[in-house]
Amino acid sequence: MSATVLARLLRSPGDVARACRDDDPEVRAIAATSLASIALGAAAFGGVIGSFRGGAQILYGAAKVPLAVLATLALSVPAFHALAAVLGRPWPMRSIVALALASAGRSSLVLLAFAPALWLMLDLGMGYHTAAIVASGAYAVAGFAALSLLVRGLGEGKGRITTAIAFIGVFFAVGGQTAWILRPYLVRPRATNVPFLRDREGSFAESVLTSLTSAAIYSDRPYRIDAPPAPASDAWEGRTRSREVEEDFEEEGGQ
Amino acid sequence: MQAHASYVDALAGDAPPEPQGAPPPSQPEEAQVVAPVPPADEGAPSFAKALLGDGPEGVAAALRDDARRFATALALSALYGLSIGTRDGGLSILKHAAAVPLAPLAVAGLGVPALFIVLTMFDAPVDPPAAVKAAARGAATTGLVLGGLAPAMALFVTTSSSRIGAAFSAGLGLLLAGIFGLRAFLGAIGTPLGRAPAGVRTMSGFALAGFAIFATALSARVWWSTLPIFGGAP
Repeated sequence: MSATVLARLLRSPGDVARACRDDDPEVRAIAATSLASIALGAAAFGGVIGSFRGGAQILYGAAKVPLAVLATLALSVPAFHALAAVLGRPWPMRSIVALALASAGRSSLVLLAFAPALWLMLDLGMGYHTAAIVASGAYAVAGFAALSLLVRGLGEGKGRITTAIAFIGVFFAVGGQTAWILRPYLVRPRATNVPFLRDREGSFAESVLTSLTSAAIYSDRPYRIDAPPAPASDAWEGRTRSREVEEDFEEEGGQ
Repeated sequence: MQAHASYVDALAGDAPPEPQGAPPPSQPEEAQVVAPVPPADEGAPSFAKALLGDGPEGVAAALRDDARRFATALALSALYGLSIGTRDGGLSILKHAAAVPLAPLAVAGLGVPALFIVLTMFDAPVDPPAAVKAAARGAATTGLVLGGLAPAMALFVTTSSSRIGAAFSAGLGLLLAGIFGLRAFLGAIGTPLGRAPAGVRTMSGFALAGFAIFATALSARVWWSTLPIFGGAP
């Protein structure tokens, strides 16, 4: 891991992106440093998220977040290569790999920076839902950091925005599904059993749709977990309550 | 630029991309004569560039090149079929691998000759080698996108608990690849049409639009009836 390359990843994403794209001699150093950054940054962030529950979940979180990042890269890079080629950038696979690694390395460094602050907030008694929102915000900032490097790496020319949108679409779809199958990350302290992986349950896209539907249904009406069974005309609502929704209301005393 | 080429370069035969926007280094005239700077793309082209780039001159060499592109496209399409067949495993993997290349094959075998006949009737400046080249380009683009999406699609179809979700993911990949392939085909066959008279261009435009609808419908029909993930050919 080179401190110089680390500094360049954070300070000069455009230079790093150009080096990856043009296959500079330092690409190996950039790739190695990016891999180390992913291993360190993502593991630290995952461990901190796991510390909300403590115990084995710290190790699980530290293992699963880097695993999710690397698996996402491994599955997305062939698609990046193909989409870039058909949109006017038929670059060698190694240029795409280097660019993707550098982007992920930069985002992992941002996650590493967030880890101490998140740990402190958890230690001060931050609630489950607030922790989930703060962690999501950290992911979003890290994602933007990666995106800034990736878009610079696409260079000028026709189809730049389309290629960037295609990359983002593939990355979010694959990353979302990979992260989904590696759940749970944030586990409530009262949970007695902590599985490394949950059972297969829908998919990331289905979960997002279910959550959006639930939010739309419950946003304009009161909800009580101990309410009497819904009438037949309203029975569909009962089927849309996921386990997470039930747990949320249990956690909050059914309010 | 290639002085640092690694063993990976030798194995993969990939060339680095052309630097974009960077002006060529200025050299004294005598230095250029003694040691000319090679173009950035002088080495063996990358796999994607070889598949999508311009082919060789000459009818026979061009036909061989188009056949190579087409075969590669079908192999990459079969790779996508392998990945979506992993949901059921076993024989289903082979069924999917055999079914996915059928649509580009059907479009090239049924649609492109028909389009060529229609374009010729309108006196459009398109000859058979140009039509074959455009078909190979379109199939290669479709195959490349399908091959690139194959690893991600294996993840989606094997980790989605519902069959509808898996089928939706698989269909989305096919749709995306089909759109890119159609775009590449229409771009390749439409280029010489730009030099034609206005009337020919208009009629050719209608013919190309009809081809796009036909190719989409034919691909959907073939995939829907042959891919087990959509309920076809159990």
